Amino acid sequence: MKMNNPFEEEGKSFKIPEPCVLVIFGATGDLATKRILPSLYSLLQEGCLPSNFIIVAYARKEKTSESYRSEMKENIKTRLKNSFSEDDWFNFSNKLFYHKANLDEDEGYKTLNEFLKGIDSKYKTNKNRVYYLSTPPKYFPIVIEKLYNNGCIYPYDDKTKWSRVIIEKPFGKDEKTAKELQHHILKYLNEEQIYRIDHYLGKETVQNLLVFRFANTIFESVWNKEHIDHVQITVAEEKGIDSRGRFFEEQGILRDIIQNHMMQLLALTAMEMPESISAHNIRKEKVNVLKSIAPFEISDLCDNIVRGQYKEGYIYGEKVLAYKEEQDVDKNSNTDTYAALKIFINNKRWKGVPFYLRAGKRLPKRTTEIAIIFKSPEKGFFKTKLENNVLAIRIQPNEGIAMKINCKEPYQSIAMQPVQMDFRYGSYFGKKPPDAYERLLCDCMLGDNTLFTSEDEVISSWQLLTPILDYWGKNHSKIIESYESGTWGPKCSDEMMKKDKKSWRLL
Amino acid sequence: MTTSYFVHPSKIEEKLISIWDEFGNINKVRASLFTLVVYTKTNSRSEYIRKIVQSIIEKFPCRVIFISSNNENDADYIKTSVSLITPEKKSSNIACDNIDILVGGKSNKIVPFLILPHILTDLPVYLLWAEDICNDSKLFDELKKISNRVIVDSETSTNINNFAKTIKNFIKTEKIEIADLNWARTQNFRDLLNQLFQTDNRIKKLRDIQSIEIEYNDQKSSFFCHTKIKSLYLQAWIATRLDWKYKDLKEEKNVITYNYSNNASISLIGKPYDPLYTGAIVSIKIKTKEDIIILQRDTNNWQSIKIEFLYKDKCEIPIFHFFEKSITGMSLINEIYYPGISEHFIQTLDLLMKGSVSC
Repeated sequence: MKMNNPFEEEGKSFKIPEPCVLVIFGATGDLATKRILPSLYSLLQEGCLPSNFIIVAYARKEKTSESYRSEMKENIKTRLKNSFSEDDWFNFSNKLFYHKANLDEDEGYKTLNEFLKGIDSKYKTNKNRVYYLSTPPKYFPIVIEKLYNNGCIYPYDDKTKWSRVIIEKPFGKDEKTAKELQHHILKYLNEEQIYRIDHYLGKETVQNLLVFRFANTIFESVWNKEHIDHVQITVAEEKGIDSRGRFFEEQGILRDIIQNHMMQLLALTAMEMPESISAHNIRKEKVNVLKSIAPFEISDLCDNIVRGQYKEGYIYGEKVLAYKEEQDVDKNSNTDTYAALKIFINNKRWKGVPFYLRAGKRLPKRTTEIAIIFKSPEKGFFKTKLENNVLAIRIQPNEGIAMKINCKEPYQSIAMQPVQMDFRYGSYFGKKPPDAYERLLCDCMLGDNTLFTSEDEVISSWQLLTPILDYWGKNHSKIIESYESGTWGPKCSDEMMKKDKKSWRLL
Repeated sequence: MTTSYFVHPSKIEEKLISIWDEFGNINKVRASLFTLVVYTKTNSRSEYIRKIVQSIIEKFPCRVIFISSNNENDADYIKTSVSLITPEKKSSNIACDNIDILVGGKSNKIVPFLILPHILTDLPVYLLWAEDICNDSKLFDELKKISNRVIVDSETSTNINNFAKTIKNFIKTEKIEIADLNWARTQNFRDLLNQLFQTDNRIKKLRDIQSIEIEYNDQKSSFFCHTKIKSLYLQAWIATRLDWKYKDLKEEKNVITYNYSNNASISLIGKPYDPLYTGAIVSIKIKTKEDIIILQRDTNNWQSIKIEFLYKDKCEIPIFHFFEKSITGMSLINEIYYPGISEHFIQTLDLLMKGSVSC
């Protein structure tokens, strides 16, 4: 049994991870250079990294540690601007090494293992390992297999050291491939060693959902079908696919956003209170929600799901191309850049409450929001039409929570006006919340997988959405409607809402 | 801080509203998570206390009611003024209400009445008492009644034993939480020691400690003169965590040595270290039967701590740990804002009550 550290105070001591090495595969890619390394640098500045901590950048491009450090310095300096410091960079760069090797050859992993042993000896990193796979998904199986075969991954029950693997979405392309991937990975890793990153879960505002719902009794008591008319969840981006044409052609918005981010937001919004704040119990409740979602019937696939693709238009006054004209996109592509769904959750809390989900690219602005629209007040008491109360949880940007309520206008009339009560993270806490990756990296090093997606969550969401993908696969040319870039999506999306006498919130 | 406007006490809220109306055009947001009532005497520490207030609003916006008091022998007067304080970062769009109360003589007793109307409803009240809490003060007795949390600074104390006794008594008799800025100032070393002794091998070494030497910067400044207090806190914390029983202490020139019943000792050695901040802990040297563990601050880059483990038969390559930049950063905020009184802090106070040390 591990001895108690007398210097640690439960709940008060700042938790710093144990000494370890973080190996980043695909270290010259966008994710590593734009998100992971700047986040690690910020963690160092905040004093959140262990003293004995080393980063090894693994990639096939011809570089040395020196040249890689030099490139990353410029990169981080550009990204972090005001918070960059030469002193901190000096400290950080001493922890950063480059290992040139291929992802699909054993030699690279053999030399990596030897290199890491040397690191352990010199820097006392205790043989603990985190392997971050920021590579295209097709490399996940092979990297994990080769890590295992070359002694870089330890058994989960090894008490003297640990190894963990972080993988990014997408986790498979559909239910079958997700199960295949999982089956393959489990040959080499225990589920507890797998950290599936969905960076939305690292956002403070997403984590705040649980606190908001369960630490405020006034909301929990109305969070059900008796009081809620419907829920709208929106993930909107103003940008297109940038240079990700090749990748996006195989994905589409359903796989890219809805299967992961959207399902997480839905689960957190709809879940029951967990028995405890443990990772296991929170995940259990999320899976329960996903499994309670009514499967799609054929009629649903026609009437309650919308698919769209952006055509040319204007974003913030600038003309933008149609999807089909983007780089690496097939001129005849039927890939969806917009999707909207209406779903129902068949449990006691939510029966009969529709959840409307929409995600899209080239919409008028970037915004992610969960809106709880409450039932209309009782008729007859006030003669005037009353607005439904709305609780809007802004995930990004302007992170915060707003409540729309009805108030009496000043002076004699009984006329009413909707007003907004607004809480903004940035205003109240003095600064923007920390980057999601900072929190997630730290949690992985601490061995806390609460904010990572479980296997059950992945499979459950694929089970729900795969029939949609199959249906689209067979009928794609009939059911994709284009929409002008800079608008809120195709007309059929508004019509879907109109049929239910509802409308999308104008964000 | 924006321009400060002197107003009659009855016009405080009205003037704040008019300042906010002026700000309406430049997109500032009025934000408050709590009311921070600050009390200090008008002396060389006032500016330092203002810096602490500034560091608080950088992390947690609050309404500040800043009371500066002259000696009670002076003529009676009250002057109130209002302004807004903004974080130093230019891109921040928040600003906080600041109410300044300058008070002299017998007018001190009116202060609670001045403050009450300006406490924000439904939000906590934190009282930063920047004077020695051991000295009786009717004003403190009144202000603590409306406070959810009292923040003190043992740096103001001339007698740490007395201070520790007063705080312990306070915790026992009052239902108000208490936080100590000096305790917060030692958090970086406490966290570092926590981190270093994570493995069973290292924890076992703690049992074999024979002596610990803590060096600190004993150069005084205009607002810090009790230079050894942080070191006293740290040594008391270490001793209590290791369950050492106090035996006696010896004080010679700039060295204080605490002896414990297991024959272990902790020495506090004061030396001048320019340009480190006053009282800063510079190094900790831990000697066991066979090993030496050294934590040494880089005096050129005072956030950087070099850590060396020197064993009987080998030496490890030194590693470096980096403290968060600001000494009034997150450790201060954690101590001030987050609920509960640290058990470690309470036990540290128990040990500080033993022995008599000149501050």
